[in-house]
Amino acid sequence: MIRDNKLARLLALVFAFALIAAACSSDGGDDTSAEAPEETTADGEEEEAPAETTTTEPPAPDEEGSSGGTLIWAHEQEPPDMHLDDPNNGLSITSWLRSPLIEGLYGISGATEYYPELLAEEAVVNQNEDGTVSIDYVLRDGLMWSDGTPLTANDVLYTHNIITEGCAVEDDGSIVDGGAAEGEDSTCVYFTGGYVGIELVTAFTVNSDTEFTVEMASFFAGFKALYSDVYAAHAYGDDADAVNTNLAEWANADGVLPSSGPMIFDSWDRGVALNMVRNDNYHGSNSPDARNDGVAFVDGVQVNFVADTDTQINSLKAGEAHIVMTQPQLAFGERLSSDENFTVNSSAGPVYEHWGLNVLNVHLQDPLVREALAYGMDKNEVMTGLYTPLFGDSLPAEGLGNTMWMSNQGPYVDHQAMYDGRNSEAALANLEAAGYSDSGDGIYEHPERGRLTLRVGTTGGNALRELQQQIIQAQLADSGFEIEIDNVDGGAYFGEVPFSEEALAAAGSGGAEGDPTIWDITQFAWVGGPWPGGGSAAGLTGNGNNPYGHSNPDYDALAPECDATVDDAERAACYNELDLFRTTLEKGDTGLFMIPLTQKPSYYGYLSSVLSGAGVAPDAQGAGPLTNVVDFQFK
Amino acid sequence: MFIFALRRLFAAIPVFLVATFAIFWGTSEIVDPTDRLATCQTCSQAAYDRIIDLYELDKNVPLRYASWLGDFVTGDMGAATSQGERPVSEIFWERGRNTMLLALPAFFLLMGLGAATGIYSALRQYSKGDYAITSISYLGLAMPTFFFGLLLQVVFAIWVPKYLGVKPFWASGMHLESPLQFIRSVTLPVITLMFVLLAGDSRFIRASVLDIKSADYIRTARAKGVSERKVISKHLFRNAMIPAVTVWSLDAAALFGGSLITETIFSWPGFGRLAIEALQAGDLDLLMSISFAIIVLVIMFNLLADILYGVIDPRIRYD
Amino acid sequence: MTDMLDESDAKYTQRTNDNLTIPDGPDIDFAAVEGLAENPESLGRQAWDRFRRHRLAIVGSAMLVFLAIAFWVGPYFLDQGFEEINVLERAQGPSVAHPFGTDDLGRDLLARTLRGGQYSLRIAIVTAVFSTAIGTVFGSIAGYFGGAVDGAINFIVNVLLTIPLLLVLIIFGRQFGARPNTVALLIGALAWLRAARLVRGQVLQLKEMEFVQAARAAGAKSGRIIVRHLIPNLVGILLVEITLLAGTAIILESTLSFLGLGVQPPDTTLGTLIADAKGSIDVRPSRVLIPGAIVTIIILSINFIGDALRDAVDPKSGIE
Repeated sequence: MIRDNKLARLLALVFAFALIAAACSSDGGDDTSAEAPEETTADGEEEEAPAETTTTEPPAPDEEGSSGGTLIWAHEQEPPDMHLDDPNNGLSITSWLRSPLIEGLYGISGATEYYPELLAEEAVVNQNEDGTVSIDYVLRDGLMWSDGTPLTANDVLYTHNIITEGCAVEDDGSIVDGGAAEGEDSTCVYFTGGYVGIELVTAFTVNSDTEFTVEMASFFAGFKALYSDVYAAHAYGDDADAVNTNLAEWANADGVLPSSGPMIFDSWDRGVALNMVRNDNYHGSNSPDARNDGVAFVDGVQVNFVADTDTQINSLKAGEAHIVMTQPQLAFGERLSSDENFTVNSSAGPVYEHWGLNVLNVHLQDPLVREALAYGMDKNEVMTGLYTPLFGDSLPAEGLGNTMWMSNQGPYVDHQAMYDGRNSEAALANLEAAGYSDSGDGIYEHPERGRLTLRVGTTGGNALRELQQQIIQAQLADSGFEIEIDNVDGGAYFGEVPFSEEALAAAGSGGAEGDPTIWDITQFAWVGGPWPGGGSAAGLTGNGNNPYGHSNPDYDALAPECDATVDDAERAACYNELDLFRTTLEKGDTGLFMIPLTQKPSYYGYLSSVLSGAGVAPDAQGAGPLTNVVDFQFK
Repeated sequence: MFIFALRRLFAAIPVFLVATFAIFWGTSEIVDPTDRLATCQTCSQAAYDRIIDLYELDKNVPLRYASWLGDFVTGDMGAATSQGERPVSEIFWERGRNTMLLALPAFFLLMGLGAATGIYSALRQYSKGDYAITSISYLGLAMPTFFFGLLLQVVFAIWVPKYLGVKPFWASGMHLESPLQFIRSVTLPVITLMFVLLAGDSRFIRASVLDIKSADYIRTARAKGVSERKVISKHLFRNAMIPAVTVWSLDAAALFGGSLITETIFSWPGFGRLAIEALQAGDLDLLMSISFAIIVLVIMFNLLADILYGVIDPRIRYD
Repeated sequence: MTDMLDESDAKYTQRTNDNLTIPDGPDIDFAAVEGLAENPESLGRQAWDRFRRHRLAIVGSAMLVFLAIAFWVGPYFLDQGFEEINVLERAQGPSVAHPFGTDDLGRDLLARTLRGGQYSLRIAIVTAVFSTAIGTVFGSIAGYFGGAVDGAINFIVNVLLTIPLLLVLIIFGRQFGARPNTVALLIGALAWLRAARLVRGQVLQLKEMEFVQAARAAGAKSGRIIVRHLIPNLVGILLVEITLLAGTAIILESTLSFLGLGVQPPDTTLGTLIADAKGSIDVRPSRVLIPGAIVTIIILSINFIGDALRDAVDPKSGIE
């Protein structure tokens, strides 16, 4: 009964062929993107500006730019609330949104170094004879909250108290005085910000409005990360409950919470956008990167929540957004780097990507197999294939060779060099020594352990990580390994796979409890600080940060020693030694449960035709594009 | 007819119960709300207990479902943990409204265009217009939505910069008070939503008009000397509308329930995007409320179609 | 009342790939096939004649056969395997060495397209056959036995129709992982509803017919009657159903790929290829358009064949 006309269908078919033809011929590449030549002074790497463009050196941006305007940042993720430490939260986006609102004692510069943010100068660390440490801090003069109230040492004390004291939950659900002070694990639900190391603090003394002293039971290498957010004593709430509510809403009974940063929270249209306005009482940025030491140039910031990564880039290209920061991916670079209207910035932060090995796995429990895995991998190919084209020389060209190594820090040793270069001969020799043999298709098998198939998982949806997995998958196929990619979408990966209850129970008990078969290999990044204190926990026996199942008493003894080493050079040496446990077999057969890959770059693009180059400084600490918001300026 | 509607409504209740339970059960299988604590290094047992308590994770799935249903029917839709524990009811209406902003224009355009192209194709069978419409319909049937949506976005928001000012997504300045901004924002997503559905509608209406064209009563009418215009307007249209009502009710159910892909691509804060966000965040209360809405919509529109059938076609009786 | 229910429900068909609700909507309307029962052979020939006269269906079949050959045989003529990575040649446009260009890892896109085509076709066929089989079993049981059995199956169908399909696919995709066969079986397990409706309607008519009554009178068991007498008479509409479902499966699979639930690398499907390349849609449109066009061609061809089959098994329809 349906008489379809043949001609119409033929037309449709022809059209489909035409699509292919068009696809094949129109693929000139750059011709499409060059169509809208808005004249710009190309910034940084984009030097081939059109002929008519004034080709003078980019002038000092401050002179060229003007004040005013609203900066629009398109981002895919929307936080559940503004309370970073809410168990429902803990997302990077929340800390990125808070970074222009609230400052801490120390900030982290584009060069991944701490600088005194609210402090007037570096804190002075005094070692006492009994092994305790007292640290003297001096705040900058003239610090002020956005409501005009002075920011004093009392605010830091308030922050300390609210973190340490409000840390136990009573039966009635109220949060009161709690465990942290007694040196136990904190039972505080909500206050985790700047928490690591705070249990070592024995006393907090306010000496004057700008001076205070913190006593610690022993030195903690990561002490600069303490009080990375300082809350306002007069406005953030009198008890933990109130603070929890206020921080989540970013408002108290009187209105929006006062800021110590260059922006003030304004409004939040859920699912659409979050708005901030300029803090006219801002005391000025102390960052070595900042070119502007006064209040922000822009009137405000709007964060647009744009769900799809491609749509984000489209919105930038369509001029609907000025800046985007996506998960690094090749298409991003292709579509923006090739266009002179856009500038792409990247920098390496203290975040390292690695392959973590489950040493309880039937294959991976054999150090020979773990070593074979390290031999079979070629990080150079990963770097030249993926990272160098995107990030240029902002990352170490040979990849990361030390899990305790971070950019711009100390004399750390590349321990991975010995395995480098896709040495499949060495890998296969190892496998054969361990009793494996070729099963016929190039994949090895063991008479008892079976076929050498290992699953590698990560957070799905991260294009760069997925490509990286595929490169390594192909490399390892030459070394007798069959790698199955087994990702779980988004953040659920952690909770469902390496950090699931059963998997952690197995890791903590050496396989006696829980389920050691949930995962084989995991790929993710540990977020560190410029000082690696705390990062050593990932190898401690039974530690919640150690899903790998690694257990070595020597490591357990050495790690706290490293964290408590005061001298920079000595500490670096100590961490180098610690890394030998993690990435090599030199410290015994328990070693080599991590294979470092690379630093994780942060990566963003902006409309260079609209924004002046100022303000878009490297963002090594991964604090988001708004870190330097005070410098942003429209042309 | 009223009794018929009531009976259908009652018959729908077990369908509704089983369907919501199936979703509840499936979601509970894959989503563990305590997962999000796994990476929270300093989160304590208290935080864990709180989530267990919130979702009653210590009970089995049927009990939890019963508890959810009890709360839901008494008006307590729960709190959305993925949105700072805001009440679900609040989010529900807000996002529902946004979905309607897309769905209503898409639906009316779809009805109009579907009927217009379908009837035109049938009346002018084998004309150039018919060929064009049918070709486009075939393409619509053969193209994945996300592909079509991104293509539109790239073409109209980038390649032809700011053509008529259409926006590549829910633009920040979008307010209902500004009709122009509104139209610019909804244009591309509405076209995307409509295009895929339009193909099927148009072809279906064309087929049913063709069927009726050769039906006896039309021949009779013509033979009696009724004017062609009257034949078309009185007999043809009315009869072609009967099957079209089914299509439209299905369209309505599909559109008003929110579209996952279109809303994601055009960054539209509606139901569809909310559903996937809730699923990814393990936000059970939110997800269940959305599922509830979608299931009810489907049931209601099916019922509506059946009732409209009777209104349009007097031959159909309800007993 | 029940008749009316059937009329509207029998029109469910898979249609869109976006909306949360089950993509369905009327598309075809089967007329009775009463003629088939009496003399299947000659009618079969008639049907073949009708089919043959649909030139586009022949074009479509030829196209599919050509593509299938290309997908399965083509890789033997290529130097670079679909999984071979060559980062030095990454992200290139079409060239002599790589007619379709290369992807982000320097893998040859021609080889990947062929591999993806294999999987897409496989998913389409597995899905279509699997879900038609389920639909046939449920539909014929419901139609033949009627009563409580019919009611129960009807209920299941109604429930499945109301549940948001994409949501269910995502939930199950997360649970069972994304392998080509799981994807196919998943889609198949949810797409059998219309087939069940159709078969049920046909069986209701067929079982009243003389040859079935005769078999029953002769003491044949129910199972035997269904298998020997009813199902052979359903072959026509089932073939049509298979073609329609195959098209749906390909589109649904590509949508799942977009949502990150496609097959796992290094394997790929046409939908995954589109989803992977959507980010470079404006700088290298060929990456998106080539697999997009191939998907379009496959679905068009399947549609042509389906239309011709429909005409062939439906004596009411004429052929110009």
